[in-house]
Amino acid sequence: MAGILIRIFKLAGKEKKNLILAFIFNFFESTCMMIPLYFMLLTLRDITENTLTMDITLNRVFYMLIALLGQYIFNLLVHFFQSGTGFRMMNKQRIKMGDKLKRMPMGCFSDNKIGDVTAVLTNDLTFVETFSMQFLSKVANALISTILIIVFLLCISWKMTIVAMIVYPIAFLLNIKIQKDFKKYGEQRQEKQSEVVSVLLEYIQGISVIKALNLSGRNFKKLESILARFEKTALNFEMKAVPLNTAFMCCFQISIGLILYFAPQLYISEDISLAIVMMFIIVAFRIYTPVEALSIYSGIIRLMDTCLNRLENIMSVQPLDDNDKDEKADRFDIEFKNVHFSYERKPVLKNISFKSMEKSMTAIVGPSGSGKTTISNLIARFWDVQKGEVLIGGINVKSMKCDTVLSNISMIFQNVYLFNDTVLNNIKLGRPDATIDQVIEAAKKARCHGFISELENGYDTVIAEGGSTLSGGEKQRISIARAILKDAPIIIVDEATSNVDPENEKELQDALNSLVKEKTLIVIAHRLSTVKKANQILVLNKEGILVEKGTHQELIDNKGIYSEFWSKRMKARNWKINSN
Amino acid sequence: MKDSILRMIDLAGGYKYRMIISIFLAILSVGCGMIPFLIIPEIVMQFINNSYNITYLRNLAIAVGFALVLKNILFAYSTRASHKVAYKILYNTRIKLAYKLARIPLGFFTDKASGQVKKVMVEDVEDMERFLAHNLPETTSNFVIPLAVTIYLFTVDWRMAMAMLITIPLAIIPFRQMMKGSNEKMDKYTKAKENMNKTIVDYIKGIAVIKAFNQTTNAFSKYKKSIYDYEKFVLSWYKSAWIYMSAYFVMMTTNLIVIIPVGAYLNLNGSLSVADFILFLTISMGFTAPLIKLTEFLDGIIMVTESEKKVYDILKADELCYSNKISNIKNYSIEFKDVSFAYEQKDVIKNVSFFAESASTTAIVGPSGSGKSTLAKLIARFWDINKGEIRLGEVNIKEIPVETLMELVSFVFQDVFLFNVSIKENIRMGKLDASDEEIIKAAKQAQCHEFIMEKEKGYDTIVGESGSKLSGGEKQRISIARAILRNSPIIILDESTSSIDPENEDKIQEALNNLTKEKTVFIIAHRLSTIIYSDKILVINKGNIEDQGNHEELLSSCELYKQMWHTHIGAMEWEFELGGTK
Repeated sequence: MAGILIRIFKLAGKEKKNLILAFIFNFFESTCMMIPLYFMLLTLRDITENTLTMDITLNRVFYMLIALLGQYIFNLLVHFFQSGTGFRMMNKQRIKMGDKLKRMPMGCFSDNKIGDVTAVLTNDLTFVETFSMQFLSKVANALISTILIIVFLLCISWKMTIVAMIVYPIAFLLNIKIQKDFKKYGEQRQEKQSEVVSVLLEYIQGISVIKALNLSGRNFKKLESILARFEKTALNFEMKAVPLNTAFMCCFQISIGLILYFAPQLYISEDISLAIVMMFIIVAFRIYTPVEALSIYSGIIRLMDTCLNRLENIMSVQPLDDNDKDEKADRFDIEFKNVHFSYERKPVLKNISFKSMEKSMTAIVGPSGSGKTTISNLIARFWDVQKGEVLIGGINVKSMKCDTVLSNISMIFQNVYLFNDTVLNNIKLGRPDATIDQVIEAAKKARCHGFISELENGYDTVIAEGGSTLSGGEKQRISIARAILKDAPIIIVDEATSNVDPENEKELQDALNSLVKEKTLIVIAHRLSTVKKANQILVLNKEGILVEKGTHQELIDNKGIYSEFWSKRMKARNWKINSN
Repeated sequence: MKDSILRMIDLAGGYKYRMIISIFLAILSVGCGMIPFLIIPEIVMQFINNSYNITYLRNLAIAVGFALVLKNILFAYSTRASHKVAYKILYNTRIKLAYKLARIPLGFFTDKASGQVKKVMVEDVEDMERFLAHNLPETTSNFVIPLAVTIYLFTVDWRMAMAMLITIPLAIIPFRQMMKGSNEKMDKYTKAKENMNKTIVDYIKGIAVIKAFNQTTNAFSKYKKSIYDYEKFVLSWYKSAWIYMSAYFVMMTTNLIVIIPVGAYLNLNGSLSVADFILFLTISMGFTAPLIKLTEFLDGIIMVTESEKKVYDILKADELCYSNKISNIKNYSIEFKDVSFAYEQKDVIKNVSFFAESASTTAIVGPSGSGKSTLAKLIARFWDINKGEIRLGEVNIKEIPVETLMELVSFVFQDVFLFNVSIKENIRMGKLDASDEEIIKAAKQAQCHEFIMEKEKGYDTIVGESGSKLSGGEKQRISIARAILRNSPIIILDESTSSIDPENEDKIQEALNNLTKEKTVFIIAHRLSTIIYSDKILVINKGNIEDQGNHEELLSSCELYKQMWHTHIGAMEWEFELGGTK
C-alpha cells in the first residue's frame, strides 16, 4: 500500500503541491466531521446529569452549523486540489508517452507489442486516473482519522487506548496475507481470464471457418470447457478472498465489542467518568470505519500496480537518438558496410555491403524472410544495426537524429495507414505548409485527384479509422501523393504495393512512376519483372546473406538463384486457372 | 431497466434460487448491523438509572460484538452465493451468445460487426459480474433495512423520526442538481474519452507514418488536443458537480444537527423519554451509511443496463431459416433465377440470372464494387436473398440443410483464419475423420508439405494466434489443403488469393489447380489473364450482369470486358522507370 502511494506521488511531479494541500484540507474536514459527534456526547452527558437546557442546546446547534459549513468548504477545497490532479497527472503521462513513442525503435510496435502500448495509453492510464485520487483520499482519510482518534483517546485514558488499538497489528498481519493471496489467486484468475478472451476472440474471428466446416459442435466443446474452467477459477478466487476479508472485518467488530466490554468496568473501578465511558461507547462505532473502507481497495491497488508497471516498462525503453549528434547529408547515395542485424537474438542480416549511387535504382530480391524489408528499415533508422555501418551521403545514420534521417526518405509500403482525418490533411502530412494547389497537383500526379473529387466532400472528406472507407488501391495512391508532396531525395518502395488493387493496378503503377522520377530508389521486389531496369539487383538468400549482385542481364547470364527465380516468375505470370 | 435485470436473472437457470438466498442473507446482514444501535441505548440507560449490573453490561457488549461478527459472516455467505450465480450467468450468457453466433448469417460478420461482437462477449458480459455479485444483493439490503428501521422508529416517536429523516429530502436537492443532465454529461464524458482513446490508437497505429514523415506537428498536435479536450471537459464537469456533491454528502451525514435540538426540546417539555432520546441519538449514526451506499450503486445499475442491452441485441438478431428436409440433390450445377439482394438497404445484386453446369468453371469479373464477391458469397448463403431463387442441383438452397450446403460448398478467400492448434489439426478440420496419410496427401497437393517439413515440429507445429507464426502464403496454402481434404463438389475462389505471396505465387497456383480439378468452380477474378479458359465469364457491373460468355465471345461483344482486358495487359508489362512516365 505504501509502495503504491509513493509511486503515485512520484508520478505527480509538479502536482505534488496540490496533493499536499488536499491532504491538509482533508485533515480540517475530518476535524469538522468530529464536532457534531462531540456535541452529541455533551448532550448525552447533560441528559445523564440532568443539566440539559434549551439555551445550551441552541448554542451547540450554532457551533454545529459552523462546523457543517467548515466541513462543506474543506470538502470543496479537497476536491479542488485533488480530483482534477489525477487527470492532469495522467494527461501529462499521455503526452510524454506520445513524444516518446516517436523516438522508440519500430520493434516496439510489432504486431504482438502494439497491443500493449495501446492498452497502457488507453485502459491503464484511465484506470489509474479514475481510482488513484479516490484511493489517495481514502488513505488520507483513514490515516488522519485514526491519528486524531488515537490522540484523542490518549488524552483520556491510556488503558482504553490500548484496548482500542490492539486490533491494528492483527489486522495489519491479516492484510499482508490478504494481499499475498490476492496476488496469487488474482494471477490465476487473470490467466484464465485471458484464456477466455483469446478463446472467445478465436471463436468470433474464426466463425466463418467454423460454420463453413460445420465445426460448431467441436469448437463449442473447447469454448465450454474453457468458460467452465474460468468460472471455477474466478469463483475459487472469490471464495479464497471472502473468508480472509471477513476475518479482517471481524477483527474490528470484535474490537468494538471489547471496548464496550471494558468501558463500564473502568467506570466502575472509578478510573474514568461516566461521560467518558459514553464517549467510548459511541466513538467505538466510528473508530474503524475509515480503515475498513480501505479494505475494498486491495484489488484496486493490485491493478494500479500492474498498470504502473506497464507504464514504466514503456517509459524505460531507450530511444534511438539519445546522443545529441545531428549531422546533415548533402548528397543521397546509400551505403551498407558489413552490416549485421539481429532481431530478438535471431540473426536477420549477415555482413551486408553494397552501395547505391545517387539517383539510381537498387532492387532487393530474395525469398520471404530473407530480410529484404529489414534493409529498408535500417536505411530509415527504424532500428539500429548491431555491427557495421549504414551511411547516407557518406554519413553514418547513427550520427543523425531520427527525424533528420527520415526527412530524406519517403517510404511506400503495402500496409498503408491513413489517419482518421481529412484527405487533405492526410496528404499534407508530406509537407504541412503545402498550399491546396500543391496538394492537388501531387494528388493528380498520384492519380488520386479523380476519385477524391468524387468523394462527398472532396478533399475535406474525413477518412474513417484506418482508412476503411477507401479501397486498398485508393489508400495506396493517397500515400503516394503524400510522398510526392514530401519530395524526399530517397524513395523506398515495397513493390507488392502495386498489387493491392488488381483492378486499378495501372493507375497505381503510373502514380509510382511519377514518384520515383530522378530519385535514389530502393525497391523491395517480389515480381522481378518490374525491376528489370534496375542499376543493380541485390539477391538475398534465406539466411540473410547477400549472394548475388548485378544488373538483370548480368544475373541472368550468371545462372544463379536469380535466374532460377526469374524462370519461376515467368511461369507464374502466365498461369491460367485450369478448366475441366 | 427492469427488463434487463429480469433477463439477466433468467439466464441463471437453476441457480436463480441462490440469488434469492443471497439477497435474503444480505438483508439479514444489514439487519444485524443495526442491532448494536438498539443495544447501546440500553447500555446508556443502565448507567443513567444507576442500576447497572456488570454481568448484564458485559453480556450486552458480547451481544454487540456477536451481532457485528454475524453481520460480516452473513455478508460473506451472501457474497458467496451471489458470486456463484453471477459467474453462472456469465457462463450461460457467453455460451448462449456463442450458440447464437453459429446461427446468424455469415454475412453478419463484417469487420465492424465482429469488433462489436468481440466487445460484447468479452467486456459487456464481464461488466455484468460486478452488478450481479455485488450491487444486486447490497442494494436490496441497504434499501430494505433502513426502511424497516424507519417504520420501527415511527412507532417509537413519529416526531423524532421526522426530525431524523428531514435532512434526506434536503440532501436530495443538491443531489438532483448534481444529476441534472447527468446522462448528457455522462454521454459527453464517454465521447470525450472515446475520442481521446481513438486518437491515441490512431497515433500508435500510424506511428510508422509519423516517423516516416518526421514532421510530427500535425499528428502530435491533434493527439495533444484530444487529450486536453478530455481534461478540460472532465475538469469543468467536476467543478460543476463538486458544489452539489459536497453539499449532498455533508447533508446526508449530519442529521444530528436536527435531532439534538428537537430531542432536547421534546425531552424538556416532557413528551420524549430519555431512553427514546438516546435511542434516536445513537441510531442516527448507523442510519446514513446504508443510504449513501444506495446512491453509490445508482450508476452501477445504469451501466449494467447498457451492457445487458448490447448482449440482448445480439441474442435477438435474425437467424437464417433452417431446413431439416433431406433433399435430393441430383448434380452440382448452380442456377440463379432473377436474384436480387440488398444489403443495408442498398441494392447490391439486381435481377441476376445465369446457369453454371456441374463441373464447369465460371469466372466473375467486373470493376471493384460491382458486387462480384457478393454474388459468389450468396451461393454459400452468407446472406439470404430478397428475391428470386438460387438452385443447387435443381434444389433451392434454402431447402437444403445448412450443414449439407456447407459440405457441398467450399470457399477460399484472401483472409484465411487458422486456429491456434497444430498444422495437422488445422488441415484435419476439413474432414474430421481423416487419417494422417490423407492429411499429408492433401498437404502435398496444396504444395505445403515441403514448408511444413522444414518446421521444427513438422505437422505438429502450433500455428500461433490466428496463424501468426506462418507467412500469408503459407496460411493460404494450409487453407487450401483443408479445402482439398474436404473435397466439396463446389468451390468458390477469390483469384487474388494467389498473389498474396508473390514469391510463392507458383506454388499457390499449383495448389489451386489441384483443388479445382473436376469441380464446379466459381472464381472472383481480378487478373483477367488467369481466367481466359473458363467455360463461362460473367461480367458484373453495378449489380447487373452486363454480359456473359467465354473470353473470345466477350472480347468481341462486351465493351467493358474489352477495356478491362487491355488495361490488364498493360499493367502486366509495367516496369519501374527512374525517368518517369511519358
